[in-house]
Amino acid sequence: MVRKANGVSRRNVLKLTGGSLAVTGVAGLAAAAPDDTVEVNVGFKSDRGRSAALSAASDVVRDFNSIDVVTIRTTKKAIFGLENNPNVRYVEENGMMHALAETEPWGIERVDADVAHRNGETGAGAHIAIIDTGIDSDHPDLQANLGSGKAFVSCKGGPKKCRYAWDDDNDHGTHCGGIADAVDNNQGVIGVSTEATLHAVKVLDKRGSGTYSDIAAGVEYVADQGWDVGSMSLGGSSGSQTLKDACQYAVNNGVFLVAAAGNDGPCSDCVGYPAAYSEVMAVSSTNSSDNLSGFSSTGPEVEIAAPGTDIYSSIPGGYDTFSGTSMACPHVAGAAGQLMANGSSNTQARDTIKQTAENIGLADNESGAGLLDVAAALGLDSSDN
Amino acid sequence: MPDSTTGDSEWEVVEVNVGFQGKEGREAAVDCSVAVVREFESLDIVTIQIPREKWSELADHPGIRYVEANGQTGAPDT
Repeated sequence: MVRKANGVSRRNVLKLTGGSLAVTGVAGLAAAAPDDTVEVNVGFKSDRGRSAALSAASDVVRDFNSIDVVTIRTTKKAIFGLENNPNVRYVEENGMMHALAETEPWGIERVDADVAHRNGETGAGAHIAIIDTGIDSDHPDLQANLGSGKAFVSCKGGPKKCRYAWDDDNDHGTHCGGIADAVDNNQGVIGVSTEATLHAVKVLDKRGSGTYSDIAAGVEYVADQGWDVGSMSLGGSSGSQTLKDACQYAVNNGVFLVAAAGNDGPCSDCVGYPAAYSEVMAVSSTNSSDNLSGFSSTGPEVEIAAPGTDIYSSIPGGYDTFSGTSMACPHVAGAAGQLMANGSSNTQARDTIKQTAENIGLADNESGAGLLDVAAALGLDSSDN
Repeated sequence: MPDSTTGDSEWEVVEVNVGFQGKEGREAAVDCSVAVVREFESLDIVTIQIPREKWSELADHPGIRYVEANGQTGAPDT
């Protein structure tokens, strides 16, 4: 697994705030003195209830057209009478809700995916498979982009968590999915792509483990579906001919495969499998200072670097911050989705990503061609770095 | 490793991925298995459980490309 950094939770991000006041000079209900003016919504049962509310009002803020509610300003002491009126259903303070803010994770800006978004590049039309622990099927930042899924291991956690066999019972896959392709919807986070179709291919179980056979079957499935990108934030120090065969088959059938280099750093010549296979683009990890992440594996197989330290993204039921080459990998998957949505083949996308990478001064075995630059890969001006 | 042991090492059952070529190779793999775990849709591979003592015999079959343990991997640790 990856480590959690700052513990930001969905509860912090998605909460609604109530109780604020709509109008300056109008007191909060709880703190108001009996003669203070407060703004309330009054639900009524009948015309007599409506009349009672309007009679008590110093101002009528809104008289709803189709529901039996009026919003009025009145004194706090008048509320008691309304609450006890049998023709009134409720009296409640007219609190405020706020638009849910969308956070742009630092990695999105650093790879200039924001430039791509401003230029209308969304990845729409591409199919990105997250070959991992599954994806939360009802996450508000992912749901609109979710296509079909497939499970090669069981989801465990009951029907609430495992609505589909490919639902995420771990967190890891949903986090990776958000990095690659979270929806641009004024809440939560935003992905490198924002409108690609996201597919959950569940090959890792609740503990984040899967057999070579499970993973190979997932890779084979991605190829057989004709999907564009397979993102593998998984691996280990030992290879498997079965998994290599599956990767070869997928690439021969047009799939762009990308994998996490591994989190065994600091170390040399230690890129894990399947990232180390020639068929797969190996991704190392950087931090927000453009340094190599301390945990990142390095080696001659590394072809590209991407942000992987302290990455904020979606998890089932909310958001959290994780670190790992697992987080770097889906940045590249999202970029490949953008390119393939625009007509690139898998091999063209791989070449373009390398040719347009930004030199951040790391050694070849640390970052390969350099840091991912999504805007440059799409032929856009990324001079803002 | 999803190995299981019967208590007698000769009959220890191991789970392996077998890459084969041709119909004979596939049949050789399936015939020596005690259980077929997965037959791949598009790849010439089967995941099977075999008695460990059958491993060498199967690997030496001309229709078999490789026999490897079906190990586990996963999300990398930091």
